[in-house]
Amino acid sequence: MSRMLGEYFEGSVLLLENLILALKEQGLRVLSYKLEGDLPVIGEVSRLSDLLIDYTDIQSPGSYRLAKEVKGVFRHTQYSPKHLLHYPTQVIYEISDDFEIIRTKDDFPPSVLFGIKPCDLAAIEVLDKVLERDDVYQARRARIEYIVVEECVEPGGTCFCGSIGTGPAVAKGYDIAYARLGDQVLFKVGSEKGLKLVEKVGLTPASDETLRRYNEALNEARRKASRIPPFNVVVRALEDVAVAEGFWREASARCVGCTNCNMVCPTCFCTEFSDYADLSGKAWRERHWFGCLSFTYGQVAGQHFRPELFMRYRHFVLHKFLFYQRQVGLPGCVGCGRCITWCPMGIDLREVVSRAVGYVGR
Amino acid sequence: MRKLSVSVLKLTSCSGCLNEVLYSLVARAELLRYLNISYFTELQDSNAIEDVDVAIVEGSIVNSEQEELVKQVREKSRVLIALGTCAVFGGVQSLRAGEDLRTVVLASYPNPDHIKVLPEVKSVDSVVNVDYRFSGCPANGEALARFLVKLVMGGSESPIVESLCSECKRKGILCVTVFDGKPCLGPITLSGCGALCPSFRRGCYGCYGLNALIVDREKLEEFSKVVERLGMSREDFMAMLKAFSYSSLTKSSSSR
Amino acid sequence: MSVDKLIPMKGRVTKVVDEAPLVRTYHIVVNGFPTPLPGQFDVLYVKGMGEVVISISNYAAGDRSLVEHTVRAVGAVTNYIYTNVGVGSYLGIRGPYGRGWPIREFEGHDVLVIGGGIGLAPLRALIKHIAENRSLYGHFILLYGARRPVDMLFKYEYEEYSKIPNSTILFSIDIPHTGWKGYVGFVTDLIDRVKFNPQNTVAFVCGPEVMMKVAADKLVKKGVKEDRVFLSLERRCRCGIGICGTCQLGHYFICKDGPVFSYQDVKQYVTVRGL
Repeated sequence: MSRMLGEYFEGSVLLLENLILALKEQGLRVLSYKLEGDLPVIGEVSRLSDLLIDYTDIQSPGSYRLAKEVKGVFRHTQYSPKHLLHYPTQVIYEISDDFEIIRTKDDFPPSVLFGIKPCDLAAIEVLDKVLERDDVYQARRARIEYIVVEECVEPGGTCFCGSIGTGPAVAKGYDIAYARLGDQVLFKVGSEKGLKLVEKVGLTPASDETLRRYNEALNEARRKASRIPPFNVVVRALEDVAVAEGFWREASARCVGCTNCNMVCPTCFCTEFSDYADLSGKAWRERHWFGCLSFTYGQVAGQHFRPELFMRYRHFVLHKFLFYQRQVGLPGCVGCGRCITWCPMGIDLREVVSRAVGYVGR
Repeated sequence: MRKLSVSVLKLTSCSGCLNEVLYSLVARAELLRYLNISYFTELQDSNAIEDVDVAIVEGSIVNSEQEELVKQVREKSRVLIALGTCAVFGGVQSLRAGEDLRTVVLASYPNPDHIKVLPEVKSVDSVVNVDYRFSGCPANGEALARFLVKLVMGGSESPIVESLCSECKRKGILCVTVFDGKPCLGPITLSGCGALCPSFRRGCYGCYGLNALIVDREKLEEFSKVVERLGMSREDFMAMLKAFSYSSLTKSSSSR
Repeated sequence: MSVDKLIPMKGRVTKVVDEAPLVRTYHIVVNGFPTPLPGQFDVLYVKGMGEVVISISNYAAGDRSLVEHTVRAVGAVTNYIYTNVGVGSYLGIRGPYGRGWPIREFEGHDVLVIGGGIGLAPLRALIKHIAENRSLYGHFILLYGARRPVDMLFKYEYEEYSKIPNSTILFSIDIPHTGWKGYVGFVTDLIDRVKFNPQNTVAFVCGPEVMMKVAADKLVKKGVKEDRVFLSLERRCRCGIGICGTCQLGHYFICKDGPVFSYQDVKQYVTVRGL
């Protein structure tokens, strides 16, 4: 029987190692969530034990802890694929004394995103579109040869992908997806490339029993990750409160404009530029991530288009829920919960948008 | 490109900022060639304050002579730069503000009558108009040198006002508050230091000063609850704010 | 790696015209610069200082294209240009960017142009287009206001404007001034002092945002359709190509979806404070 796209396979969790090795054999750099010392980061891995398979991330508003436990469930960390594809700080060019442009180089080898989450994949789809004209992002993106997604059988403490529809399962845009069901792993194939890889690794077609367990786990995860009203309900509510200053002043009352939400958000892409020069006549331009909660966001010489914090906070929320949809046809919020976990004030976006539903202006 | 005449005025401070500036200037011989130092009592004997392009004022104002001096320097300079947290916010000597002056003086000096200070500690911009601010304890000498290069070229720079967290996250430092549960003043502190303390996995203590364009009294109160919950005493928190953000605390609260 | 789309062409300043206090027009010659449409803008780069978004106030094609930019010294980069850039200086230039005035779509219509202060700059090429293609348009009205007579731009062209057949041109100033024979008050007041057929009129407006909103509301009240009132908006534009994100207004990127919008398209956003 020939294997087909959309088919399900299964195997022991140890087969993930074969998958990593098969990718490395092709000369690819495998990037995943991993530990650096005791810090959960995103970076290059070489074997199964590099992955955070024996860890659980315990997330709540303003708090993140890592617990070592056998058969742990790891979701994600402060970092997301954005950190790999949309560089936080880079020199975009240098210019010589006589106005000759000196292009800078980017060393980004052919790579694999391994074990990223459905929300991460949804965020990449958003960045692909919103950064369509960004050469650097697109060049890096083109060097991602495979995307291997780990579906979430157990949502984290601040997750709400179920309400947005960006998780806990993936439907497209991946080569291979897998879900951990104890020691067993269920594999889904999303591309011809992925299918070839699966054949190499030696997986067997999934049994009905494994499939039943998988569906059950994912349905349960979806239910648990539906912590805000459905996306379209939220959208309608936010359209209504967009003009209600009182709502936004209240929602942002505890916000100190630190931009942690912007920086960790996997779809926040804004950048600002800085210019440098030395007296030999050489100059260079740098661009770096820039958060809309910063005071300077909206400020031009002589005036400020969003002088008060509530205006910038409103832009952040409305952009995620309303404007991205109109810009690229996708929700800008992928429900990953990073902005909640990594907010030092523990401001919970889920509460804010839930409150918008049924808000009566005062 | 043009040569700039420069006055450097040191008021009450530890002089650490001047050291930072000297380090970064010494490393840039080409910049020094474009600076004509007109007044700098730490480097030369001249006491005459002349008309200059740029005045760099470091330290805070603690007596009326200093206040007069700053006013004189302002009148005689095209561009005035407040350098360091003392000049921008008042600095650590603000810790004595509100205390009995005689007790404070006696604590350090056997003969208090020789010490003539105001009960208040003033930042430079509470006395004169300031064109550019480089806060920090000590200030970032590199940032000042980069800015002086632009001035020499005939230009300037618009400041980007953002919190330390922006800088910290761009550097890829895992959040010391959220991950380690350590109190950190980064969220309410101005960027510019390169997230030095968090890069050593320590909380920021706010030495670049309060991001007062956003953080008003109410927000400060909310923030104080967060750091208190993480183990920083209210006393310590208030002391850090007083030491590094004094002038912005005494200004009336705005509703940003 | 370089962001190729952010790399400027090299331009040389060939002429500088004093327009008003702190405002000058810079003639920049660039090899092979693409032909802009009226209302588009460029990003000018000053080596070591940064970039600034400036509307194109005039353009002449040729082997070496000539692009004119009218710059007011308000920020770090524009102050640098004002004080340091002269004939022979080099500037980086990227563009033309954005959607300009949809002038071709409204051939056969009466055209009402309203400018406030520096806002006349992006309208200048539009006025020129109408003058050069006079038979394609109906009645032409220009309403232009500035704070003081001295703040008015392109004064050396008013005589030419006045020769445009079938046209009405009115000026206003905000602050009374001896010798001023025109109107004193808001430029939007002039809307009540001219006759136009709202059914057949298209309006192009540029100036401070408050003035544009007042103008748009007034025109709509008089019967001009919202989708025939066009405004040129300003926000914090940086990259010019829709990747830096800082010029967003609602779901629009001012730099790539604008800067020119119909009032119908942006009314929902510009009428909300700070959105």
